[in-house]
Amino acid sequence: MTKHEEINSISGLNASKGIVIGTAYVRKLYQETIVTRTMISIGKIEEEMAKLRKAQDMVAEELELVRKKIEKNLGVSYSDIISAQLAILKDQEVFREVQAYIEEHHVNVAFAYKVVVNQYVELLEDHNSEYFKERVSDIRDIKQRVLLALISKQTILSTFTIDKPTIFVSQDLNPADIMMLVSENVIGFVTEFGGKTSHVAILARAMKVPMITGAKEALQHIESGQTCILDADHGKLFVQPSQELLDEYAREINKLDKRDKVFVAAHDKKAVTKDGYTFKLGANISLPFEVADVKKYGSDGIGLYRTEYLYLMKQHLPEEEELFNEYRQVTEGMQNKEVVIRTIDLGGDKMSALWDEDIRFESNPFMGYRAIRICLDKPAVFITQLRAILRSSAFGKASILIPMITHIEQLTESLTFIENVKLTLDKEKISYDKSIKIGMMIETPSAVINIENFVDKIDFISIGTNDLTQYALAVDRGNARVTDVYNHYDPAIIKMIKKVVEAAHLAGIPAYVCGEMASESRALVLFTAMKVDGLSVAPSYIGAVKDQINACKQKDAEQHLLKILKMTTRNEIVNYLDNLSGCS
Amino acid sequence: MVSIQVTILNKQGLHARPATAMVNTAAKFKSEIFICRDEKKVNGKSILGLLVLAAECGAVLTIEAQGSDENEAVDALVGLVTDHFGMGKSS
Repeated sequence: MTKHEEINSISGLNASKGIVIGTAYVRKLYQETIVTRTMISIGKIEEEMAKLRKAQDMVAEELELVRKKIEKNLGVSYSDIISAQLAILKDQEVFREVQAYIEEHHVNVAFAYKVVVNQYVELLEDHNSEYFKERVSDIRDIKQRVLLALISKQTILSTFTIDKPTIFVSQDLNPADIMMLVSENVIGFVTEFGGKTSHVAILARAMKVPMITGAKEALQHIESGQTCILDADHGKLFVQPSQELLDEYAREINKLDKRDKVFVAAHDKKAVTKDGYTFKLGANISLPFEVADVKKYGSDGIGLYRTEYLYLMKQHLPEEEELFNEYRQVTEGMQNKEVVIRTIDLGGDKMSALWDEDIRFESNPFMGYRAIRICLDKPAVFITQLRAILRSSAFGKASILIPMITHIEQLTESLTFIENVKLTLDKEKISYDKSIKIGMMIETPSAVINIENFVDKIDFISIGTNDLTQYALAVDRGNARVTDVYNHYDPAIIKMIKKVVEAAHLAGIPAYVCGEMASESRALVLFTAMKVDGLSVAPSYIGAVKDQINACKQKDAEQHLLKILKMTTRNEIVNYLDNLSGCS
Repeated sequence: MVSIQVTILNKQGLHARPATAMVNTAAKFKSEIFICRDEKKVNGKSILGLLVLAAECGAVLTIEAQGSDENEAVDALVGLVTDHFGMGKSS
């Protein structure tokens, strides 16, 4: 919103949108806690070890608290990360080695503990395996917590003032940090590492906490206690801003809050145009607890349930039961409104730590091992997920959406998998919705060009505009040098969407749009004119999109589309759309 | 003392979750338990020790136990490894 370019601003990627004003707390992650070495007499060894036991108990208590919060907010299956940390904390060998070190060198327990744990850190850092290297951060984290408890008798949570709304600045974050901090008055996150699609970003979005990632040198430029404005929408953090800017943002935040309240109050409004054309308006979610938000704003269902999170977050492949419990919460929670569950779209920029390293570090991941390609290559993974989805369909209304299909064989092979899983469930007398609908994502040019051959095999299509744009224009949307190439309003993209929607209608199946474009006000006239059957957007956009639809006239939109189809450049199209007031 | 060789069968190796399972199982026995890989020998009741072994899929480990329940301890640990730490054959 602001046009000011303040000197004291830091830029990053918008990982979770929103605007907040708060006090910074800067966590210098790898800064070693200063531990002084003092000599102790032999008689004091027992006393020193008792201190360590007490510190470990303090930390364990805090971790248990975090575990409870995670289990309450996300579900039991997300808490293994804490179990591993607790096992590290309570390692009896470390305890024994610390005691031996004190006996030999007559030093204080904090110093001995640091020496012992650092030896393990060094050993692990030497490994070639990324996985084992990553565990170093868990061990360091535990070390820091224990040293803090030993030296200042404090836990991490008690080290910063939580009476003020806080913007948490750190090098990196893990999901447990986010869960813990959000419940402690932290209202925004800034990290130096990380991209837009890391699992931490997914979590921040689901919890509706603004976050910017990739904010280089943030730790150097911000100090704890400084007032900051976090404008994640524009990927900016303003440090000690002017009063003028603070006032401007305070007004903007107030305006957005009011607007949000209006949307919530109008949750039962329908997504219908002035002349009676009704869209099925769905929500995009990644985690079960978002269902509450979806209901708050009122939608016709879940148009896109992304299922990658559990795979990104866990240190093992999720088991059928874990997946089933997760999906059932959503199908049951939506009370017979349709929930479109997309099978895993891992790969690209969302790589699971579970795959082998040669897969995780592909030179061209968006063209590589991704989504349905992984599922067809790893039948056990695919079947486990399909069983969980089908089982969850007995508790509400689920459908299956298959991502990244490029050729017919992939689709028929996927359909065969689904049929076989159904047969197995029949044999096992496990109930599921026998008329479950199956759809495919349209996100590759080959699927568009060959659309007629796909639509007679499925029940619906869903157009993923982000990937379709990326693949059709051959542009990496994460690459800053070519961002101007990436544009949904290229005539080629509009023609592709139109072709796909017409083919779906000819085959008598609905066409939905679930990419970012679905929530852009300037795109609505296009979708209305094409009679797209449904849109699916982030829960917080539902109210705004309904308002825009309500202001639309389908017949007028058709006229606009005729003109737009004659235009040859994207500039012409964007200018034309921007000059329309809404879509009437 | 009892000593037996096992091969790690989990696709992802002896990572945090199976290592936690192994430590929890080892802790149930009174015997001293050591896990060895090449030159390294670590306490089988220590998760940090097990992580330091960085045993990937296919790694050969020697489980050693010494004490009153050494046979039972080794049996339990071998069972855990051959059962993929209870995480299913696909993991």
